[in-house]
Amino acid sequence: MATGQMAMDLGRRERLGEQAATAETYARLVWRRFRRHRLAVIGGSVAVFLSLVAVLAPWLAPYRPEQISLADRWGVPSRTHPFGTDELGRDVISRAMYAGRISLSVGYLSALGVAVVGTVAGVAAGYYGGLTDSVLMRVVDILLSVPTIPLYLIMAALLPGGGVARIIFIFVLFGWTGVSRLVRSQVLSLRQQDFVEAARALGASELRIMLRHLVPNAMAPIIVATTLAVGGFILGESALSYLGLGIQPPTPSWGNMLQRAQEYVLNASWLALFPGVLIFITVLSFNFLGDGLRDALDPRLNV
Amino acid sequence: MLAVLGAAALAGPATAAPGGRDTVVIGMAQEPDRLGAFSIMVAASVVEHALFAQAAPFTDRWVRMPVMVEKLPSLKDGDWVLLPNNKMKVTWRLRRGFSWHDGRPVTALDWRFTYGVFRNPQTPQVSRFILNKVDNVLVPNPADPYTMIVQWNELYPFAGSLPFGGSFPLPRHLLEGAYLKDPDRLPAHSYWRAPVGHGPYRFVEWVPGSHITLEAYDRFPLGAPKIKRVTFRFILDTTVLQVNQITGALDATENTGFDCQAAEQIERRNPQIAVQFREAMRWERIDFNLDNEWLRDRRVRQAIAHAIDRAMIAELSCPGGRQPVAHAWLPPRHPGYNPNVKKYEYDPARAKALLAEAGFTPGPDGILRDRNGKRAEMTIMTTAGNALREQIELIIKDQLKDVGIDLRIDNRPPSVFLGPIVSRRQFPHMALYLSNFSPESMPFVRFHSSQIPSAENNWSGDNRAGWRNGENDRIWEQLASELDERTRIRLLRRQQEIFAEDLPSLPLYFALRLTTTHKALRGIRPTGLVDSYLTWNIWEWRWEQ
Amino acid sequence: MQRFLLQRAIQSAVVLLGLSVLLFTLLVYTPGDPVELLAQANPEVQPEDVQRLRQYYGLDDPLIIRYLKWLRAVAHGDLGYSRTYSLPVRTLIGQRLGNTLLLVGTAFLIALVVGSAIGIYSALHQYSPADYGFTVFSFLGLAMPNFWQGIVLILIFAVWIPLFPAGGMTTPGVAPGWPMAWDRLWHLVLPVAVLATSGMASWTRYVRSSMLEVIRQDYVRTARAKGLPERRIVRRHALRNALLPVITLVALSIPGVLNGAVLTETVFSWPGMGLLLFQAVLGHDFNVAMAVLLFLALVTVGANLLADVAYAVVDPRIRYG
Repeated sequence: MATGQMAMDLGRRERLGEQAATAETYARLVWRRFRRHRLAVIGGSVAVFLSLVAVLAPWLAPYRPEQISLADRWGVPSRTHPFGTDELGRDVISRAMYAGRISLSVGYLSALGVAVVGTVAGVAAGYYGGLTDSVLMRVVDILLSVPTIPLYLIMAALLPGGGVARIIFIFVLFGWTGVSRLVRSQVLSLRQQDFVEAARALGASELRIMLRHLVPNAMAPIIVATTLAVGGFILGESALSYLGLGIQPPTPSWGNMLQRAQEYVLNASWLALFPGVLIFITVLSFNFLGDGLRDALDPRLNV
Repeated sequence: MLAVLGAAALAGPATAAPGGRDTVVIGMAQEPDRLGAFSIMVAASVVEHALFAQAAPFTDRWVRMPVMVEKLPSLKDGDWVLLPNNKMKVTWRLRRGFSWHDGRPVTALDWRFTYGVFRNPQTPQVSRFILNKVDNVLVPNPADPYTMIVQWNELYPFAGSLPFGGSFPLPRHLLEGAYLKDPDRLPAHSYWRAPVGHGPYRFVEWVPGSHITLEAYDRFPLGAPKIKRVTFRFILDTTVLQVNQITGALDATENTGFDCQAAEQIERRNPQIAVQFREAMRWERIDFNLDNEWLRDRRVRQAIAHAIDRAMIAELSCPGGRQPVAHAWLPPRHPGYNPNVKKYEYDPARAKALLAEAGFTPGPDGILRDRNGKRAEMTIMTTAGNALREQIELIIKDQLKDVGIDLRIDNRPPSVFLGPIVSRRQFPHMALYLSNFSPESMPFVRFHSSQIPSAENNWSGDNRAGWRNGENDRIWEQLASELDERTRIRLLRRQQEIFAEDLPSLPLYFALRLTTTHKALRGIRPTGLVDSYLTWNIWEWRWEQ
Repeated sequence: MQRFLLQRAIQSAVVLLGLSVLLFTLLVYTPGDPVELLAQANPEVQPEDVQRLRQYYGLDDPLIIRYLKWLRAVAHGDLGYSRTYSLPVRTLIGQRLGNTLLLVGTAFLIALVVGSAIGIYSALHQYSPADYGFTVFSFLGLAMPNFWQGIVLILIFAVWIPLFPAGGMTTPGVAPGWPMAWDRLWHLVLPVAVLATSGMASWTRYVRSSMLEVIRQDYVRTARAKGLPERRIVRRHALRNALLPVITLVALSIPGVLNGAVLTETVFSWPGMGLLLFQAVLGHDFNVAMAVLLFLALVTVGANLLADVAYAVVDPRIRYG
């Protein structure tokens, strides 16, 4: 039981550290705890790096992503084309950078949208209770009782176009339920607490109570869920694109690059390799980041 | 985990061997919905050609070969007679010796029953175009159930090709009871999932989502099939289908969606597999919307034609110069093909000149402006998810930019694009898609000006470009009932000249159809046509010793 | 307890009804229909044929009428007829259900058992190199796009080293009995590997954190303080309480598992419910899409209900109301 003993020692040491930290501000405490989570720090750095590359793609990309050169079709990775070239002789690394803009936008904006809609719905349900709560939670039940991919499929077939906004709309439409449940349960426990009662007694408006007291106190799980959702939606975009209903070419996204590459996987397997690895690394980074944030923000789990 | 993988791998190869030499396994990317009749899928037709004999299928030379009939009736021989009021009478003599797989003989009474079923408005017969021209099918002499007469109510050029539009009969003795009891319920009959046919192979099993297996029927009158069993395997993903052909799990493929590159990969990775390229009547083109203010002007359409390097596009879609550029809508193999239509070579300078003539002037951003100063932005639409079409769009976008047109790409899923977008003309400028024709197609609905879909005519008609041309209209009116083949060919050739001059659509190429087959499998003669492609002569196939 | 059950059952029924309205509306308004597609593919189909077939298939009725007709039929146990398979939907689902259960069930069991075992081990050896390794592995498993993993596995194990079939479920003509069972197993390996990876990863994480929480509880500490052997503490006290929340999670994870099934069945051409649904949605096979979606919902809602009940039985502290 040597390892068990070690774990207990570690736990004790951490607990001691935490006691010492009570004097520090919450933010500094969070940062300290976050920094200890090595994978989260790596994940965060990679996420920032990939986001920067995406933002700076027009300056970093060695070629225009839509530049066709039929003479250079199916180029294997080389010094001039580090990721090779595709079926139209376009430079894959340039396309991957531009695709990152799309895929990461879908991830960030969908997660943000889900956080906002989910928080609003969760606060409303938790604060008002009664009919509002019942109706909202039944809607949540309904949406949570079908797998999302078929719902995405139907919506994607229903809505025209193949742009970023459409995908985000679909993801937010079906994705807010998780956050709203989280927020609702937080609000339910906060609602009866002294400081909320006090604020109410002092005549604070409902909106003020929600914005000043309820939402900030529910922020930790929202941030964690949102971070994890970024990766989830990037995976979602790739899955929809794989099924042919995501972002439509010629706009490149990692998902549709992968879908196209699958058709050529026998002639040019590198075409499937790079976008797949990029999705993988990105999602991994956000998951590590979210996990680290959870540990850092929620002391209950970090004994 | 690895242990599990290893154990299963050891078990694998024993069961993985392809069918063996008494079986042929054909891979298809589609599963039939039903077999026998009322199908809405090409895949059904492929299996039906093995299960059912055909009256007179098209051969690989695009001529009809009499199989269930002794000969094709003709005006010259007198078994096809013209009557007053443009009516006709066609007499068919059936070849004896065909039997249902339960042993009963196939007779003209089966044909007449089939006609009744198809003609009944309560059955979901897919096409009634030909059926509606037929008044009745008679078996005049009960003692001779191998002669039937088809009475036509109007002139139809191909009355001597198929008795009444159906290419094989259904078993009266098995279906008539259920049909008479409730015609509405006939489409739900269990027969369509396990049909008793009269072709070279008999039905054995259908495992939905997986395969259909057939077995040789030794009493097939054109000779017992040489291969004992045929299995059609359904593999819906093209890449997986490709891998299965490479690994040898399949002996042939049909209806695959392979492009030339995929086929070449297969050939390269499995030297036992050969690819056959077949010219087809699959017309890949761009429909212009002639209601558009710019595209209404013929010079603009011609300019776009000159601006696009179609030879390059044909080469991109199938390298090696195999795939001819299309200049009109009939391929070189069709007797109505006209080699002397106006051709639009790749000539950006000529394109610019034509656009200038049409009133376009260059704008500050390199994109043209029309007379009213409007920027020359156009939209091209096609089926989303089709890699080749998306590549073609990108090349066209690139090349149109060189002459000052800014092309926007807006693709939709096939059900949406081919549905409302194309059939209701909801594409603002250009729509890239493909049309199938058969050697006997007289596509009045595609080219005649009365066939422009609109809300007024309830979106009927296939003239999606919105083409109006008087001489063209008159040709189609005449072709619909022209019985003389030489006149028909002359008219078709003239029509193509008008088409190429007027250019309501920009023809790109005639898409080849590809078949991959095991080299030791002999006798396969794919036709390249839509509904009788690979299996039409399946009784002649054999494995080389 | 009875009142609680009744209440939950009514809730579930409301959820299902609401869902049917939602899905029906979405599906009806999806543009394009099979008749128009047919007209494109078949050179002989004339515009009037299209009109006639649309009428024949009842595509022109108003939404409410179509919904009520459908609902009445379903209430009578008639799920309708598949347009693209020419089979009663009930038969079709019957054929596909077994295939999906085989694939998803195998993967799910492997994932649950192996994942839980790893999770428990990791929790008991927190911060050990093995724990670290398993944690990284589970993150990798969760971040990998399901279908991409499928493609990579096909490329490696079907093309480069042809050990396994690239898709499908059977080799036609295999003798029934043991050869067929082996053949099925052989086809199962790659898709199960894909589905089990992500499942295993999430179970590892759930069970690990649940277990960690439990072993910090007072009663475990008390047991330890009393000097009980570690093995006994784990078996008697920790395990039971740590696996309790897993029951709920099994139910909650069902939609996610089915998501994976849609993608995996598509990549591997596995003739199951996921592939059926995908094709039904794309091919506008209305009755099939409705039936499969509602079936999936029914399974999920039912599993939730069952989880509630099971939880209530296992943990008497839960109050009903």
